[in-house]
Amino acid sequence: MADIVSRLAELKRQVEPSWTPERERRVRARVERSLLSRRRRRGALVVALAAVVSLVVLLVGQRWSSEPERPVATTTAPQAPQPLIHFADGSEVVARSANARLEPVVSTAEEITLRLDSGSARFSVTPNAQRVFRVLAGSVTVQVLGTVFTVTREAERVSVSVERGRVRVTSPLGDRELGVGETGQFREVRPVEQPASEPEPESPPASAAPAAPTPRPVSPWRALVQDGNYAAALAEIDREGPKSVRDLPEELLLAADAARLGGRPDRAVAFLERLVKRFPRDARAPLAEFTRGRTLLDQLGRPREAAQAFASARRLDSKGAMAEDALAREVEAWSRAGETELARERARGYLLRYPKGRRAAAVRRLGGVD
Amino acid sequence: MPRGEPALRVVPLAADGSAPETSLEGLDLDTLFRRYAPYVAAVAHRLLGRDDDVDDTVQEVFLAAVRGVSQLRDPAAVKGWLARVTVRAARARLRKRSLRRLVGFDEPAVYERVADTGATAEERALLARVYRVLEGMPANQRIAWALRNIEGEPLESVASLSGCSLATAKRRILAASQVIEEAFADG
Repeated sequence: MADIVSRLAELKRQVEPSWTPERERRVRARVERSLLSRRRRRGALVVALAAVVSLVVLLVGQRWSSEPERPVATTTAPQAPQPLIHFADGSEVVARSANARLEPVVSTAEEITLRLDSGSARFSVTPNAQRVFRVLAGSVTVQVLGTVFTVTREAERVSVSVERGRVRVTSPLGDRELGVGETGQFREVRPVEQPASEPEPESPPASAAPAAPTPRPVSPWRALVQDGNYAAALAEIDREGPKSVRDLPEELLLAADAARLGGRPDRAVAFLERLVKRFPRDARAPLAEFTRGRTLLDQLGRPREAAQAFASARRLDSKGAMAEDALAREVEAWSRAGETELARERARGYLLRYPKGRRAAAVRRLGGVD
Repeated sequence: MPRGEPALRVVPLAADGSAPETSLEGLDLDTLFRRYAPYVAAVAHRLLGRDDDVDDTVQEVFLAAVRGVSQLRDPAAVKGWLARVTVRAARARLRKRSLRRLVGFDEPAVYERVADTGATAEERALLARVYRVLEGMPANQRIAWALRNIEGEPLESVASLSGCSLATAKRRILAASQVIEEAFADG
């Protein structure tokens, strides 16, 4: 035995594989292929897990919310902190006070501008370097890229508190950047009212933010709208006569607000129609159509016309943040109009375009798609 | 370059010809494979005795290395760690082979090819006979004996590479030696 062992020790060098460079390359390639395949399997597993989690979240969400989410501003703050606005990219605004009132001014793929008319709201903005996100609070403008912050509008001042990220606050008294944990107080500078007969300057004063065209009340009805006194604003419009509301997109939107919130949704529809007819290429036109659809559906009970308005909003903003919500609400409107075939067809279109859309479950139900 | 300074200098090598690692920095799969694939292939070949199992074993070892090498703290431990992984992979392969043989799926190996072309006919015959005897042993005994008597590892290293205590390693080697002895005593 000792003889065999000693001979084997000598023979060790003879027990070698023919490990050539070609063979080494071949085995190395096999290792690479196995790694790639393992990564793919892992990726597929992650996707499957994400799908399961999304499904659970969706089911839990449906369990607790029978009402579909509203994509644009509601006018009064709910008791529970539900979103005032929820955008397709995940950004959302939640009311922080009962009198919080927020209105969208611009909603396109490149820009979202919201106006806080009163109260306090918390803004959670999904980072997106391709899109400007602004909040107008009187004479103060808050501009962000991706952050969480709260804006509170009080009698003579605007307060901005940053929870995450960084914001730039522009006011007529100067600019200021705020970081995490910082709160800034900004005094409101109210513009001097001008007689209604005098033309309103189209550009803001030099000291104001150039990119933030804050609406400037030049007539009592506009001031009344900004104070939340909609019925009085509408009465003032009637008293001033047909020329009280000029052909300007921002003014027509404001007048539509006064009518919609002042108990005359039919007149809001007329103002919004006028806006789209006169300014079909304006960035606010899709929003006007969307708001018209909501007013027709929710306040006037005219689902057929509402569906057409949502379809128009979709056409005007086919690639914008509103397109998904507009198509979902179109499905709802056709369904409520009893047009089941049209509802189903639009629902299929939605599911094809947004298979993982956050309204997919509601669309499937309303469109009767299995 | 100053006159008199050699263009090349001698670098001390480990016993198998590869310098030990001094740092784990930049030790990616490519570097690992280039440096250690021949070593892993040689150990696998001597443990398994079949050239056709070597490529699969090398592949398994380096797939495990992708996950495990980043957890090493000592750069000098890389080679030993790869040897341990190779032993584990070889053991799994030997067990699989036993199972296949049990159900009649394993083809008989030609152990005359275990020695390279530099060996004499007599040496080839001896090695083939040894591997044929090893083929009938439990995987753990075979590995312990091969590590000790073919690889030439010290007993402590056999225990470490096999993942067992020193006493167990000795027992396995002894049991395998008795089988070899009996086989060669028969002539």
